[in-house]
Amino acid sequence: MNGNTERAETKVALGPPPLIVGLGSHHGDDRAGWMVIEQLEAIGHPAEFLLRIAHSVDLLDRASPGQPLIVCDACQGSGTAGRITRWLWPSDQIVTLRHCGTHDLSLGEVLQLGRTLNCLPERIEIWGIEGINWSSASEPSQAVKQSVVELAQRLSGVERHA
Amino acid sequence: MAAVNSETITVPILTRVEGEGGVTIRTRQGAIEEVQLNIFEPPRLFEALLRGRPLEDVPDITARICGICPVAYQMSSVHALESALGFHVTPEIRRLRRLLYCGEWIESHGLHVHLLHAPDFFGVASGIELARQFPKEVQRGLQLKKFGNRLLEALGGRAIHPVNVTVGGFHRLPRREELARLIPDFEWGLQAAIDATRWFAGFTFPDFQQQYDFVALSHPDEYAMNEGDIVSSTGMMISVDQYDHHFKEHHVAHSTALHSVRRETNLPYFLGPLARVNLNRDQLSPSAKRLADELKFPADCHNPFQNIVARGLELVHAYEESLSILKDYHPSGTARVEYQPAKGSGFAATEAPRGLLFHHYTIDDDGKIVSARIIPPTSQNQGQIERDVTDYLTQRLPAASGREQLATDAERLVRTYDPCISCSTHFLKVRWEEVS
Repeated sequence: MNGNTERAETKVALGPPPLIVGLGSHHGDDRAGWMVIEQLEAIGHPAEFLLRIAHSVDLLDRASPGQPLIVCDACQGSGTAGRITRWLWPSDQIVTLRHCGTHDLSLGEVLQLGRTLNCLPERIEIWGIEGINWSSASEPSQAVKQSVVELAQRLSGVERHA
Repeated sequence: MAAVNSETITVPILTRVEGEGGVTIRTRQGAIEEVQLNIFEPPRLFEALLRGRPLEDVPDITARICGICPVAYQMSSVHALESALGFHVTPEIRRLRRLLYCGEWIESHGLHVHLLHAPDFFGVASGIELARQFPKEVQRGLQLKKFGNRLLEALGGRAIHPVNVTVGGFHRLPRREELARLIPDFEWGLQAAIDATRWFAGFTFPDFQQQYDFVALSHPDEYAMNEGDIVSSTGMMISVDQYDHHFKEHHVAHSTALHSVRRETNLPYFLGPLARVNLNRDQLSPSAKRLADELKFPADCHNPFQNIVARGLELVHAYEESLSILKDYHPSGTARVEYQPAKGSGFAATEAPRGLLFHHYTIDDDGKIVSARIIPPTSQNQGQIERDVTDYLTQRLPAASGREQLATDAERLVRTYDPCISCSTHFLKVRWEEVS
């Protein structure tokens, strides 16, 4: 397990269970967000609260102001491969992140758009897993695979806290 | 995003396009000398990846070439493989494939026109700023896009990289109720798409007309999506298996994607919604055709900025055709036509949201892929984009307030093509190019 992961508490206020969204693609460590969702499915997390998407903008299809939202994605630049980082949005750090999405609606931009249109909850949790391998159609790195399991375990407790 | 010096304007990263690309504009003595559309996406060698694999793997692998238009890759691949194997699917499967393709057009066009292209007409940098000015319109656009995703989920198994498509048909036919419950959303969507297109048609379009060789599929009985002959505005009409006799690819140093030209003229050509609407307007759905007339959309439109209206008309068409198929759907036949692997060679072209997508496969006696060739629309459009930007900036040069403005103009023109610079990888590294 990566030794420098952030140890943040994953608790949400009482209310509907959060929608957990995995953002990713088929390519290497970019698959991390999807793998978290798959891992959550495997350990029995209710499917109606899980969503896999390839484009950030698609989270607006399902998110709503009244339901907590958790987004899991691969990231780059947060540290060593496999490092898990948690952000809370709104956060300047997310908003100013340079575009990292294929269709130039980055996660930060989509969250801003959702806020402008009043279709997202006030606070959003974002979990990033640092990747190292971005090659097309390749397997995720071992470090990311391990961190996916760890993050899914953390998030699987979210519903119980709710 | 523009970096400017005395001789070169560089737009290092094109924003609001699919994938990783940029534009370099070279000037000499105040005149535009050369425009290059730079594509930095590493070649992903999917064609090599397919060699030796069972033909059944092809639709799912090719779907991964693009995160925006996986259905297009699936459709071109299954049609080409079925051609190689020498069989046809049932009319019911054919209708469902059109329905699936409608879902992709709706999703792709819905996103592009509202969040990626419309901001350019209001001088704002993003869909977020547009949403502040036009919240209802952007909200409507997101809903329109969402129902495209719903259709892909219902028919393709999931919205991202549908898994229900196979050579011969589908792994499973949807139940009637799975599709019927989409009908109210699509009734809303048809009217919303009409309203949205009226909105786009009211935009102020730059005065820019070019002579183009428009190329698209055309079919005698329908608005061509999945099959047809390849036709052009200059009179070409060929079957898809003649593609190589009329088009050729060539490599240029500044792009990792091959350029394409017509063999007869050695000139680039124009693919996509504007080409399709120009060439197949009479086969648009009744509401889309009426709307085109109401909006006085030119019968032979040569302004690339009007691509947004053409996409709107196709959005209307896709909603109306979907609605018709959804209402008439009563599953009765087989989900998948059986076949025996056999040696053969097959071609197909379908109309991806961005234009004609050509596939060619050869397979051996065991049904393994011997060779694969995939020619996406954006690579075919590259040469035309470069010519357009050259001519547009030459026209704009005397009146432009500065090179920053020219760089913005170039970026906006490129976006009219909705280029999909091949992707699926989420990371887009900014490359700052220092030009001396």
